[in-house]
Amino acid sequence: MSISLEAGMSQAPGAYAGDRTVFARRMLLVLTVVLILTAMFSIASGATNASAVSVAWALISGRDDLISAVERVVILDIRMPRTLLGMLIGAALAVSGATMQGLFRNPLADPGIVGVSAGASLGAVTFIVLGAGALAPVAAFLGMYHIPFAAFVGGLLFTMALYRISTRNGRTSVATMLLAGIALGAMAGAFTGLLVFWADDEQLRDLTFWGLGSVAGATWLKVLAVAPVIIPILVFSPFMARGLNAMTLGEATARHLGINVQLFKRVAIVMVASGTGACVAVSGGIGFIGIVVPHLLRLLMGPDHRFLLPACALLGAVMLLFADAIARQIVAPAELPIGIVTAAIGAPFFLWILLRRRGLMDI
Amino acid sequence: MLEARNIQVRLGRTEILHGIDMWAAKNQFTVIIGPNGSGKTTLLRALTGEIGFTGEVRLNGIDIANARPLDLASLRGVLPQSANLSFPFTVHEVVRLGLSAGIQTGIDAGARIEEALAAVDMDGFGGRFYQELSGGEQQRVHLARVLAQVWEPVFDGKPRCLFLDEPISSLDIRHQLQIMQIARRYAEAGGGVVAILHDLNLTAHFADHVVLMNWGRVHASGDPQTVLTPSNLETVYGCPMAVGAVPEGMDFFVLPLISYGGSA
Repeated sequence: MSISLEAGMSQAPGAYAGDRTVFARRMLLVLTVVLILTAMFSIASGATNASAVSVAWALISGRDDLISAVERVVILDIRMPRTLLGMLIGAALAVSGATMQGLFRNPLADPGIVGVSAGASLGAVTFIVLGAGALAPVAAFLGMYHIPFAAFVGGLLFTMALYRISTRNGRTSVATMLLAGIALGAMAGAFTGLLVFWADDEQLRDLTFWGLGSVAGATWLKVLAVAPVIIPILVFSPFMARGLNAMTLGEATARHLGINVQLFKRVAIVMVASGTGACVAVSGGIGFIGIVVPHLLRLLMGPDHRFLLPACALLGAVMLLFADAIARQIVAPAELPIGIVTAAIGAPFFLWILLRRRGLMDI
Repeated sequence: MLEARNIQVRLGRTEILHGIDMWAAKNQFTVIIGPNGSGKTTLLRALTGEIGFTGEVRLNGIDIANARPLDLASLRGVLPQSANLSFPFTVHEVVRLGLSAGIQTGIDAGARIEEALAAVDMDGFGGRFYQELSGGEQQRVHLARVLAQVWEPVFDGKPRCLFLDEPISSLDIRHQLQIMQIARRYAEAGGGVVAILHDLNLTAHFADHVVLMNWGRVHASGDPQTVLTPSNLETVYGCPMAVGAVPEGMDFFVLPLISYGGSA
């Protein structure tokens, strides 16, 4: 059957049966190459006829006269930050998703589905609407980080609440988690709605554009605002692998395997909240990357987080750039919000995985 | 190597354990028996620090309430009654989880995993998916995981301990005996084993030290002959038993007195 074949694929000569390490390492290499190609494609393609190659050549050779000012702006100030931002967001969404699924021991736990993104949105909307009024001193103090920070706080509070509600005596109830997620999401939605009701016209435009989920407004400023949050998460995530692996057996067993469970949970929750918060702050709600990417990779190379987390970062980045390319080109020269594309592709795909693997997943 | 003093455990408002004193020595296979609800699993969970308790538990002289999880993991392995796994791991990968603490540096992890699987009669199962196995096979995979964690009964000059909560509950008779042999050999090699069992005959045959529990207290403890007496067993289990000895290498056996026609 197909599943056993997948496990067999990993078996290099001399390796132990069921050890997918070698295969996983090869996958990481392949994904790295795919990401580089996708990123190059993403910079090179777009509505304007600007050649990335000639811009690169002009920069390397120092001969500015080879390219027009428009080409320069399109490549350097529009497409490059957009590609970089897309990579950061995609990687962070997938890694946050995989971390949360590991923490909750459940392949359905995704910040977008269980209300963490909604919490982060509430935080961000609070600052968009009240940032110039009641919360102006805080906004001024935090500078360009105030919206990411607000989204982080919102996401953190919601993740903590969700974990408290759905975990009792070290066991996480899946039904409670999903239902609590729905309730928390609805609560956040209600408050967000209330704030939108108060918002003036200009804020409303900001909110609508942002709420659909998009990397269209990417600027170097946005890249700089989230990179200091996302890059440390990506670099640190492999250190969480041992704990996440042990946690798949439950909290008590993870402890017996030598994991400091309390500390581990705190770090994981902060990681998920800050990753989700950063993404929501600059790109709104982009769904399904956090659930489809880890799921796909688990099918392909197994759930060992030592390889799963870096692979999620790579494939998440690829998927987001891919979705962005579709969003840019399907109705060119106009653009679809990327959230629509990821949901349209991700949701049916997710259902398909779920149906196919029902038997093997203890949901 | 394991000493517990005045262990009291409350779950909600009910006190489950009312001041337990017990010990388990290295080189010994200690078995905890008792009827359902007598507090065996709660005691084991207190002994491994899984639940909060008052009193004191020392493992090799270390107070487990204040010990680092990593230090404890290098001293003892714990096999829970049931463990469910949320992601599609292969058997090989499940056993590797036992090496999470990374205590055995310098050994070939893959070879250790194969050895542990062979010990529980699961060689050749490494490439199978855990979720596709039967209940008994899953139980043996988890035992292999625990064995892989504390493979050497004595490490760094210190004895290690296995805590097994009903390790043979869903196994056939051949594998029941096999697991009991593993525990026995672990103890003989200098380690300690603390197991909860329901089978009184296997307890009689394999245990060095028996702790008989009833209503959250230790009813009797000591070597099997002194604990497994008809009067002790009848008091605790509430049904009459006959304990007899047979020659030819077996120590003695336990039989429930089943009466036909009359009341038990």
